[in-house]
Amino acid sequence: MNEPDAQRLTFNTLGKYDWPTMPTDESLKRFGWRVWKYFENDERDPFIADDSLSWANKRRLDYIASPPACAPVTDEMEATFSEWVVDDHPARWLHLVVLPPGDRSGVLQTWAEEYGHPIVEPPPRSALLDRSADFSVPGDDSDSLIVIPRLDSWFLRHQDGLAHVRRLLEQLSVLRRHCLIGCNSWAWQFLNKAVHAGRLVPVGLVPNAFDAVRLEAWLMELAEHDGQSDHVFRLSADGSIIDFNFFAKLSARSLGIPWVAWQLWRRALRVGPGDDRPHQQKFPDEQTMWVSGLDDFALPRQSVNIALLTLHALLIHDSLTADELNLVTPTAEASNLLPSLVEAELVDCADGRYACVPAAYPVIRSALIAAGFPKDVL
Amino acid sequence: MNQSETQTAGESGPAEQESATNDRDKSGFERLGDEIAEATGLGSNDTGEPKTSVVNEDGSNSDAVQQQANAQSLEQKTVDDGGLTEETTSADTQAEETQEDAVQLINDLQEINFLHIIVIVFLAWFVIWLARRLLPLLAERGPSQARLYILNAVPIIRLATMTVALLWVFPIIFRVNFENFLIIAGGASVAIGFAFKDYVSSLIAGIIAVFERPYRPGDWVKIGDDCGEVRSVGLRSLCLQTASDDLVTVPHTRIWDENISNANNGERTLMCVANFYVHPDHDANAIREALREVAMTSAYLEYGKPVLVMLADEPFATHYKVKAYPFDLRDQFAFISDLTARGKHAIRRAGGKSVAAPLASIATENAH
Repeated sequence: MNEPDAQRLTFNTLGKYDWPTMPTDESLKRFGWRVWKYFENDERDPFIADDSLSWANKRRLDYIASPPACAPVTDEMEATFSEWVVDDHPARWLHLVVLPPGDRSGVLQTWAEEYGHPIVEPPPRSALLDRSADFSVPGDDSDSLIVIPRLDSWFLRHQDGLAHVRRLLEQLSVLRRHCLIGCNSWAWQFLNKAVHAGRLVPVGLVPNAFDAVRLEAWLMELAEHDGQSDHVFRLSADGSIIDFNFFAKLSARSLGIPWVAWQLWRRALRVGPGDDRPHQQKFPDEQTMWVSGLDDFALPRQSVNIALLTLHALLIHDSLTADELNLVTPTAEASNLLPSLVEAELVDCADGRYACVPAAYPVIRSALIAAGFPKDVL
Repeated sequence: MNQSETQTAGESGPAEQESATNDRDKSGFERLGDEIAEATGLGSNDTGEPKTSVVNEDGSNSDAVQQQANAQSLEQKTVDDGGLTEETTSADTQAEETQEDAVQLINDLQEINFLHIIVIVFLAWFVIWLARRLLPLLAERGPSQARLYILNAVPIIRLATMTVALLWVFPIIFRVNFENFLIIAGGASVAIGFAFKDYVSSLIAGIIAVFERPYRPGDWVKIGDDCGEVRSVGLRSLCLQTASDDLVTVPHTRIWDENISNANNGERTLMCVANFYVHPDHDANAIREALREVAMTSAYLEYGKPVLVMLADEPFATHYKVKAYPFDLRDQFAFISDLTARGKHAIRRAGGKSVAAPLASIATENAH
């Protein structure tokens, strides 16, 4: 399915993000289900038990839901900035794009690479603690667009770590050259407070939320090859083919963030026990892909405050090493807690850098807001 | 007319028949008639025996004649008095009834529904118990933003429940009227004045505290020498949890004569101050900026509140105050510790040197 060309979406201004809501019946069901589970041990038998299903391997997942998880957003970006980029006398030389956290595929970077715009890479974090270091950006000597895809990588929440990002923003605010900055929403909220970043750059732009219709169109399009899908997606709970209601739930659970929805979708896909033996399949005439219940994540029961401080720091910085984490949190216990956060699948580690798992972001966000942490704005 | 004659009523006369009726069944008018008849000598004697009738020489019954005359006279008198008499009669009757009611403060035991009272008391106790158990639990487990609102509801629910229960039970036990109220109030005043003065004073202060809200559960308050978070507000006292984890019970009567310092007044956050004393020979702007960044980069910082760095020269040092708000008041000590630890480091980095007051005082004395 293709996105309708007539409605070519462009970015919204910051604060106008349309948060998807959980359908009322689903909210009531979830509440009732929790109450029921609390008092009742017996569960209704599912159509096919999740225990009997196995995870699909990466190759198969890539075939069904291929990365990167940002194609629709890059399309939106192109629709938003295509005219501005070629305008010699724009109303604003500088634009800010505020994105939800967890963008592993790098929307801005992908878009810049796709259209050949130069990218300004952030300095290494270890160098950011040296206040005297100079990380200048290219000047006015070219009329091409420069892209700073991850402003959140330009600072550490540390008294020595803000100088560079402040200097960078001051340089960019007076630059007479097209410049596009990308920053995640939690980092931008912090920078707004700490260095008054909002006074130096114009109001940010945010992508549109992925509602059920858009999500269904996108995910089904990813599963299609040569114009048709090889798989039939059935719910393991009742054996029915996934419908709009499922995508409405997925949209609400993912907060309308495509990379969160994409990861939740991949995590929900399972292979049946007899799928490699056609005579044992429940639906022998089709290639069934089972969709189990969407993952629920839970915070560790112990050291909740430190866990939340750690997760908040990771969201603001996008990713941190254990040493960097100790620098930006008030307690050294934060890094000690990382293994339990990894085990709870709230955090993952790649090349020694820890980051929040995108699929767990909605749960992390809810927990942080419930604990009173300053929240992001989209 | 002879007095003795007038006292002898006819055996079958109308007045005698009326006197035989029960007083309770008589109307006010009839009872008044009886009283007048009694005053004028008509009706039966005290023993209830029929009075002797006298037969006149002409064969007529003189008592009957006399009675008839008296009845006419009474009728005439009643007509002369007109409505005034009726009103007087009615007022007297009411006064009698009220007097009877007033004498009986408490309803007859047969009339009091003890089961009803037990059910009301149990329900009130259950509602209060539930509120005291459930709401703090919800406050701790629920969203931080709602914590103080939920905690604040506990004393209000308790007061409302007790008031309703009291108003419900009171008329079941007591016969409620104005006279009884005065009697009970008088009795209670004496009892309170002599025995429960302090207790009632605390209760009244507790009720006032619920409405005036000088403190609410979750607030950080200082009452006299006691300082801590208000854990619960009872009718007689409140419980403070101090920074050293002591639980202090403070009677509400303290609000009569002591100032109450409330640091957050129902909000989730409160201002924290970290103090630094720096040797006067330093670059104040550099240290001020360094301390500001220390506050700005604290993990506990509430973004919606301002950060202030103030300085003033003291005789022995420059006194820096970093004023900022944590996002949760329960983090106040961790926040101040974080500011202090990192602030000291930042001051050193900015070329300042922290000083301790005793040493500085000695240095100042030596200099003099």
